[in-house]
Amino acid sequence: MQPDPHQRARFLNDEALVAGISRDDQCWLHSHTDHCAECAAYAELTSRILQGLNSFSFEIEPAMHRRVQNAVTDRAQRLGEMRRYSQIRPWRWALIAATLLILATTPIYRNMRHKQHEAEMGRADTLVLERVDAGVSREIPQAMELLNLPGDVR
Amino acid sequence: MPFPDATETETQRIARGLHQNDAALIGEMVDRYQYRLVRYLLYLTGRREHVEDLVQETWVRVLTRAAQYQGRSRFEAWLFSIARNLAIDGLRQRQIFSLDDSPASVSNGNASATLPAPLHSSPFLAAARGEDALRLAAALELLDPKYREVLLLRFQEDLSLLEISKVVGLPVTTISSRIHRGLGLLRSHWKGGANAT
Repeated sequence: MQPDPHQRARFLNDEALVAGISRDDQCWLHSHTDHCAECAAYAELTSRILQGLNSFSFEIEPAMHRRVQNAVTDRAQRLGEMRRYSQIRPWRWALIAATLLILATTPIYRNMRHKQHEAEMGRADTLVLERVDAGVSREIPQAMELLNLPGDVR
Repeated sequence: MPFPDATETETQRIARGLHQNDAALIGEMVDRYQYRLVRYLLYLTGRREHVEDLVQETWVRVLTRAAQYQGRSRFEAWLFSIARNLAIDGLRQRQIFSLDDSPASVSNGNASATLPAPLHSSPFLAAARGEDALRLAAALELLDPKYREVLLLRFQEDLSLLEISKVVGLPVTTISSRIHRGLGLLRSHWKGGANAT
């Protein structure tokens, strides 16, 4: 069943404004409205309505515009400051944490260094004593040299 | 701090400014979009009352939700969707609206409010210049806001059907049929007005 050409023309007229139509449909619509006074009037009325819509001029009070402008820019500045503060805050906490860590670990480090030093001193003392022992055992008084004869086995 | 890129698009510039809470850019945006925002709210609500509050709330919401705007779509579509949600929330609080689709449509954010006809001092009559516009203003007052809204978004804001569907939260096919229906109703009201005079 063929659709009513007038209905089709009116639908295409509106659809061209709503979402756009194909080139073939545009050609068909133009050829139809060229010969159909009613559909041409329909298109003309639609065009007048859209022109009327665009002719509306809503007035905005300058005072209202200023109030909105001030409120919004003020809010934007406050939000900006809050944002900057929130960016600084994690760094501040990190700094505090680092300081506490240093304060807490300093005595432990000092204690470790002290123990390490004591251990080194202990090792040095042992070494000195060993050297002294070795020196004492090697050095034989001259008067006793004769007693230390080779092959003297007692 | 990121530096502006020479190839940055306008929407990306807006997104960057919003993310940085750039007060100068916000001021520029208010200047640029104020008229369109007011007009959209007038078409949506059909009344001047509370428009200033809604406009202010919308901009504050733009600031607080700035992170959501990535500059991939037109700013005005995002702005209108925020304004729409606030207007519907406001109307819900004042309990002067009814739903035109289903009760679930509001709860899931796809609200489409049917507003009462303006009580007095129609913003459309006040905005009309010329005989045709006056007749059209009368027709707009009689028109359901759900049709007024899509007609404005399509023919004055020049948003695509997809953009309108995102603003309104309804499928493109529904938007298309609403625009067709809205145009048809305006033509009927217009002819009715012409016959009456």
